[in-house]
Amino acid sequence: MVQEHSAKGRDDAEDGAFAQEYLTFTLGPEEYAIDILKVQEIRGYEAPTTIANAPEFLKGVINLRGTIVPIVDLRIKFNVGKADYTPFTVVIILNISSRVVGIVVDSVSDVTMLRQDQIRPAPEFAATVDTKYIKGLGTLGERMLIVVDIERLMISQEMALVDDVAV
Amino acid sequence: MSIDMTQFYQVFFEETQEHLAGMEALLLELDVSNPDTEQLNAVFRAAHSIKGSAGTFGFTDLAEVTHILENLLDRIRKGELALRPEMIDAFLDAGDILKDLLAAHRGAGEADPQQVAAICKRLSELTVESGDATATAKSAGVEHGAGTGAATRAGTAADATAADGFDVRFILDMSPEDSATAVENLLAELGHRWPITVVERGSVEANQPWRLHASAKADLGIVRGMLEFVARSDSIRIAPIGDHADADDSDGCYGFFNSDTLPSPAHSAAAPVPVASDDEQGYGFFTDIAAEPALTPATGAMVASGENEAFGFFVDLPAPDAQAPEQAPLMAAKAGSEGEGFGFFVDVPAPAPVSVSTLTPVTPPAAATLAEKSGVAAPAKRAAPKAAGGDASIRVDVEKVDQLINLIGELVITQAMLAQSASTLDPVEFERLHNGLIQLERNTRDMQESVMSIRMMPISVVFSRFPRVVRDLSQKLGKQVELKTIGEDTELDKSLIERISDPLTHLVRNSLDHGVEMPEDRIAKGKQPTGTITLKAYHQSGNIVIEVGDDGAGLNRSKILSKAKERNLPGIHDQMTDAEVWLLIFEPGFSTADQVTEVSGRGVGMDVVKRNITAMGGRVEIESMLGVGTRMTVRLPLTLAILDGMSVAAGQETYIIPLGYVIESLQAEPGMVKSVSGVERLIQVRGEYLPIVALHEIFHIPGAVTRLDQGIMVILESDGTKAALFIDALVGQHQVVIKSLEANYRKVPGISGATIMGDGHVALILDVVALVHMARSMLPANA
Repeated sequence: MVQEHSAKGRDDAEDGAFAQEYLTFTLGPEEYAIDILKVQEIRGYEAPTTIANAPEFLKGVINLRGTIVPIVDLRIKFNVGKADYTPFTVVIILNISSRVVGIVVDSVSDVTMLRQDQIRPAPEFAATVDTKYIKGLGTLGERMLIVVDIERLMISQEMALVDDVAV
Repeated sequence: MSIDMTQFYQVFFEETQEHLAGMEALLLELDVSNPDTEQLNAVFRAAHSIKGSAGTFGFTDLAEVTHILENLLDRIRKGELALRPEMIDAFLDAGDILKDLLAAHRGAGEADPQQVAAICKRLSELTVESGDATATAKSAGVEHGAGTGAATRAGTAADATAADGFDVRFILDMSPEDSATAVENLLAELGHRWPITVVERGSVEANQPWRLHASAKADLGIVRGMLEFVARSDSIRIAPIGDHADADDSDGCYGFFNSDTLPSPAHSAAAPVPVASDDEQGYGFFTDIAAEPALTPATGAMVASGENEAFGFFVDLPAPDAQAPEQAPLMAAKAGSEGEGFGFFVDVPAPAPVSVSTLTPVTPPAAATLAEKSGVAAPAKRAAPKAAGGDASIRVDVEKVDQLINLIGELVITQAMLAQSASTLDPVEFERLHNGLIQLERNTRDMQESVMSIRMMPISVVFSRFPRVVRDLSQKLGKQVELKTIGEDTELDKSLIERISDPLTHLVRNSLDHGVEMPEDRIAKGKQPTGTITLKAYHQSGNIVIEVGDDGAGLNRSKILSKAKERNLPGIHDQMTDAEVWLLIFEPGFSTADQVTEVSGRGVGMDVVKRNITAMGGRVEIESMLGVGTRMTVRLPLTLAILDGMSVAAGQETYIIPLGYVIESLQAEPGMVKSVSGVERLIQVRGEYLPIVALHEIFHIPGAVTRLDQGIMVILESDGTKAALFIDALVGQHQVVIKSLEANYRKVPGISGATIMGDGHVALILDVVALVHMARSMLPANA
């Protein structure tokens, strides 16, 4: 099974279309995809402890089995959809360069395989998010997936999640 | 079948590091004039352990240095050599070299091979050379006065042996095609064991011998054994470097002296002279004389094997200058029973028997005079040297401990949750459940405390390096300094221990260089010539406080101010408070030293100290008085410690205030709050006016109580500054586990950390010091 899998991966690589798995989620009407290897777990939303004088998109910190984890609401950050918190609101816990961060999304769709040739470079356009954090636009039938370089985004200065000193 | 040794390297590194540290501490405690045998033994054992394990793991460079070190130590502890101050210096330097080597093996830094060679040489010289002036003269007398050329040469040859190693020659016994790889393998194999240098590359066709230099401690038996695989056994020659007798005699006759150089028969009897063989393969060497019981001259006679190829030396006839028999070199020559029998210098330091025996009676007074002359202030002597308790310990990965701590944290939270849910149950009906929960609470608390204590280490781990620092530096600067350490048992987290040691070293060096004056200046000022540097550690309200104090010159306010003005630092004026002026020395590039010395004065360092300490969440404060002394106080948070905290509410949020800062809490009565320029900013408590810090304002907490007479004022004190923190209500008192916010997030102003409350929610811990500072800085802005 494993061997089959790797053999397949090799074939794909030989085709020049290296495939990678992505977790897709929605923010309002938009669909996003992030590298699944960065995802640690998915859990329901619980009210975090707010942090004074933090940017609006930083909802606060939660206790994840003894670890203090900051929670970012991507809907506020990306300015899409309504930032309301229902029993279906989902938090994706990411593990990025040995840090643990949670992102709030509307819902998680599925895990998809995307080949390199399925991802088109994103054109330069004005958005609330700098296009340098968008790896490309993936096409999956009718759906357009915005493939986000989540690691780069999360450690970026504009997220203010990382101490400047520490960098 | 080979075992992968690398898996044990970590253990080796740690062990060796401990041995080195132990050795250094012991060396510093040693009383040069009257060394304690037990301590000497302990030093020797440490060196021996390092050598042993370094050898096992194939770190030959480490093993080589320690071997020489060990030999010297061995002779000292056996009383063959007297301990001298320069030996201690050499030992300490050797320890440093070993540390470098160790670091190099760990992949952190590099060791300078020249330094390694230099220290080896220095140690060997100390091993060989005479113990004191008298002994030197005496041995010189032996050499010159006696005039037995043989004796002199024996000495020289032997010295060379110890210092320089062996000269090895051989001719390959194989086809030219094979020889290249064979030699390669051989050299690799030899080089793996001992340092080997190729002096001359031989060739098979030309019948030209190879020439190598092997280190002094190479086991000649093994060397020869290996050579015999590739070389004609009759072509192999091994001799100490510098031995005159290693001349390329065509007949290969070999010994320390060949027959041509033999002195008259009378002399030959008086000195260790080998009888040159009529055979090509005979060799004889000195054996370790120290190990041999006193031999009578008769037993010292040559022992030769049955075969005619074996030789030994004539030894041990009464020395020509009529030394007492027991002082005479005791030697036994041994020869193997096999075809080419050998004896060896079994122990490297042994080969100079003549001078050794004359050295033995080194007089302690002479050593003492030396110690006095050197003018070095004795290193800090502990009043009561700690008994070296054989504590049993195990090595555990820090990660495992952290994991355990996290799990305990979880357990505490679960326990609190259980207690909370059970509190609604009828205590009569569920009496057993309640009792069980109380038991559980007690057990978890005990468990938490003991697990926490695993990570805590006494600060003596850091302090222990300072006697050495102070000793070396005071010697270099020509100052007399005594180091006092107080509170070495104060515990703090291991991670802090690692990070605090550099900044502290810097502070100590700074005190020594800039603080403590030269002895003559001190006398002129009416002080004791010996300055004192005090290191003190203690816990204070959830912090660990480390003080570095000296009774030196103190900081010079006007000098600092003029330097600051010179450098155009902003905000400099004559009305600055002393504390503000002192803080200027932490400015990057700031130095009041008139001269840049090797030690300090370049102005780098203090700013780094400050930065490092700030990065750890600590602070540095300076108190100083001109002519009296300076005290630098480092305050560090006790991360990972359990904190006694008071939980308070503001709006929907719960915050924890470290209990140590809380003086009292009260509800403000209408008359107590005073306004300045129309803003209610002060509260009068017991005759004092305290600034009010409203938490909801600083943190912009919605829904909090805003009327100052409706909430609670918590009076806080930090560093003698008081402030009133205004919050909604007091909730309770807890022991909380400090969790880092920075691990996954960043530092938040006014927050020192986070903790997890009984209901699983996160509560933030207030940074009282920062809050009080905020009050201070807010006040003039708003007033």
